[in-house]
Amino acid sequence: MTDTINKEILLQIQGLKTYFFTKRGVVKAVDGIDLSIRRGEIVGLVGESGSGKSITSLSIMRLVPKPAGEIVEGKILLYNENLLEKSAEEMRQIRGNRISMILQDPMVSLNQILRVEYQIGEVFRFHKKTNGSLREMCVNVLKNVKVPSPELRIRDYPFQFSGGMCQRVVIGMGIANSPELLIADEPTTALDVTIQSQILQLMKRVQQETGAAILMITHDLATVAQICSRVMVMYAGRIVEKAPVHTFYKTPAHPYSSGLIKSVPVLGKKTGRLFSIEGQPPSLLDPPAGCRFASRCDQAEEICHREYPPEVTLDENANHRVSCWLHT
Amino acid sequence: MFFKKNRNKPKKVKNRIPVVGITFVSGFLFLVVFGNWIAPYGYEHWDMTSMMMPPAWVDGGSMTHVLGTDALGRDVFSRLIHGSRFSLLIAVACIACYGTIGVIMGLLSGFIGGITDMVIMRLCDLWMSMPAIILAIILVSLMGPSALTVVIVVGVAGWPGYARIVRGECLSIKQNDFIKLARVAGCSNLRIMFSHVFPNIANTLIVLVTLNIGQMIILTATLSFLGLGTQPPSPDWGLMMNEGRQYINSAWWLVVFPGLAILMAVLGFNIVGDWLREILDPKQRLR
Amino acid sequence: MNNQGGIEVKDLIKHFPVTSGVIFSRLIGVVKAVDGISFSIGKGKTFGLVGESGCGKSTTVNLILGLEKPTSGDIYIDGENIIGLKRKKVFDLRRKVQAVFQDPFRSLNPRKKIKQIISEPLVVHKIGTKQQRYERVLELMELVGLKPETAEHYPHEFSGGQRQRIAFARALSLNPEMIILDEPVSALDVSIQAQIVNLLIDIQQKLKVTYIVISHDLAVVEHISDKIGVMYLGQLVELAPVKDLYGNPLHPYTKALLASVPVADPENIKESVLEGEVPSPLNPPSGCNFHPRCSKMKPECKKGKKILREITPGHFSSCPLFT
Repeated sequence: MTDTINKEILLQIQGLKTYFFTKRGVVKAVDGIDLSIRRGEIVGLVGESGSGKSITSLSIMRLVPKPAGEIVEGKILLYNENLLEKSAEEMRQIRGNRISMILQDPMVSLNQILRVEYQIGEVFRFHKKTNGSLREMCVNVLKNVKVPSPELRIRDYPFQFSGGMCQRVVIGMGIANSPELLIADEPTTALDVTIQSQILQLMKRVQQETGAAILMITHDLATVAQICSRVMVMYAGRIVEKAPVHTFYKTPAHPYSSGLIKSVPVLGKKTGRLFSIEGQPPSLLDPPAGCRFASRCDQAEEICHREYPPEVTLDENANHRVSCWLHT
Repeated sequence: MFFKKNRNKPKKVKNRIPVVGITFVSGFLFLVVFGNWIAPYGYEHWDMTSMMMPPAWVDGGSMTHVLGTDALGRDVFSRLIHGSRFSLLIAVACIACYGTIGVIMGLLSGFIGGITDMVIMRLCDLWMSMPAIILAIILVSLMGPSALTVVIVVGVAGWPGYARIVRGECLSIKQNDFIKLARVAGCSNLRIMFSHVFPNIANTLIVLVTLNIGQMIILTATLSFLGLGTQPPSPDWGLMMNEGRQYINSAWWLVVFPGLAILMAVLGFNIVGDWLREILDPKQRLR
Repeated sequence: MNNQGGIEVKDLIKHFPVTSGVIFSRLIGVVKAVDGISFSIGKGKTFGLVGESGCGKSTTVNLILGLEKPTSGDIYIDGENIIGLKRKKVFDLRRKVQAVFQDPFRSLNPRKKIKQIISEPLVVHKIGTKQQRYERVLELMELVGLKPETAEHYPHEFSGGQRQRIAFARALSLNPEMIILDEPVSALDVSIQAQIVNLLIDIQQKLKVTYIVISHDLAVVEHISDKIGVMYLGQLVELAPVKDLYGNPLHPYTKALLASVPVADPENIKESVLEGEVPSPLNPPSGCNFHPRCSKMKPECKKGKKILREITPGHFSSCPLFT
């Protein structure tokens, strides 16, 4: 997938900060991140609960829950247009059309009391892309994601589909209008392992056929390894490492990245105790001044607790960047 | 266009305390507790020399009877105050009655399920299809109208509503793993119902009860208005309105003030009930 | 069967009747949730039960915990058959078998302090005085890695991983011989999963508790288990010691499962090997349940009930191609 390196940049986030204003204080869910996604590439955004990865995707879609949540700073550029300056109507035109999103639990992504045909049709109807029979277009969506007997199943309700099938329908809806960017937030976490691998394969095929870029948000390092070409790691609201996938798994630069990789139990290698990163992520209400991982890092030094490390480029060609004092 | 104000200051999240509602309810409760000392006259005190006096600010009124008097010379203001205690007492008695029955039935129905559930729910259906008014009329003809009749009618007729709601909550709480784990630990059904399920529906009950007080006040007022409930000389607000009905053109204050009192009390309890529902919702706690 | 401290399950069957009709319900089908499974594990060891949605593992858990009655079959815990026991004996049995479930957010009563949650089994079984119970709670909290000063807190003040620790402390309070763990780490983040897995291993070494671990995560199960059973649509298709199962799987479903597990290694891209979905348990395929999806299917796979046969010592498979 290295041929995407020279493709133009589709989405660029600069200095994004999304905060939640609550009774207990300000929760700095996303506290200054920069990232870019090129056309047609599959990028993984890895992080655990509370890292801010889901809020990042909601920020791109401008769907951050109000009134507590707010994007307080930054730019989100789709090609040259700043999404944060668009009106509500303009954003509605973009969602489901140029940028699409699919979520974790397929059973709640679909409305159980509306037929599948109606829900898929909404995607076309709203963006006024009905050319020819709407029913045919909906059946094509199901054919595209390999749902068996699409002409019959189009009239079914979501509860008549299994979890894996529902997720296929949701993916189908997501790509129906050939978006340029598909954001997938934990799309396979709720599925069985054999269905997971089917869905991952489907997503790879979708990317190849439509040329859409995919932002894959997950905590599962195995999923990322299977389909992403680039990986970004988020911790406590900031991105700590960005690397191409092979480099990332072979030589992760940030202690959190290497800790995560080591924590994953490997099939076929029973080793007794697993490696585990001690401690808990810091509170986002009052993040520490220095590196946020310092309190759990076994290689932390005094400067790590004092100042936040700047992002340095380890390898210009491979586009490997990290925010860690070890590498400065 | 996007970053209009200074976003660096944490926004104050207002708690939206319903001042009006709380004022009304506090006022009502205050009168209930201290009414005896505040009311200038007893509720039965009549004075033939001051019959049908209008409120103080109207020609012919005086400050000795701020809100006027009725046909027997009884002070409207004092009767309103004493009436608050009556209304609350009856409302609480009713709710205690059907609330207890309803909660127990709901718990049994929702938690044990199976045949128990089916029987109780059919009983609910039966009960609800019987209009309370008919029951009131029957009881009145048997026992004669009185405050007690009201309590029995309402207390006995009202439990299906609570039972249904409690059953619904039960069904959803049963899905939680901690119920399964309580069984695995060896807890008996009774213990699970009262130690695990009930505390989790307490929030809903608090809200229900608060909203119900308003309903009860209106219901007892209605029954009294119809002559089926409290009897004179009780200062029940509904009864006051009934007694004042015939004078509505000449002595409007006899109907308007009790009506206003009912309005304010019920409005107050409804607002407070809504507010309680909002703040007691655990999902709201995080905001 | 004499299996001190261990468990033996024999021919366990649980069928759920499916009825239709509003006024007069008639039987229109049967869901064979658990369709004749047998396995055993010795004291202080771990049995891993793996399978995907609908395979019957959750029903199996409910049966072992006595939350449901089996249609037929026996379960021997510590040599004693727990099916058909009187209520008092079931109550006493609870001291031997405890459980931890998947969802840390629904496993704890949000209205109780965690000291009450952890000590409840002791209260129910009338063990110790109030002071003794409190000390036991603190002891348990230290054992599972929780700060004793947080005993007065409520569940919502803890993270997912900490809540699982609380649930685990509660399960240990009665000093059980066996703990059933139903997807104990599936809902947790990767780094927390590793912490909890290590905790489970440590406690087992210390207290010699027998575990039955149910999971769909093959790598985690491999890590903790000594013996593994693979379930598909209510039946055990393979049963073997851990090394044998992962090193030499003897059933096409097991092979497909192992091949599908995504690996955190970009050099090792897995192709999806299994098409289709798990069929409905209302209408399972004839013969071997797996045959419609099996790449190695032969005519004999469609006929006759497939039972587990020992292929190599200790390694059982129900696939006719290996027997």
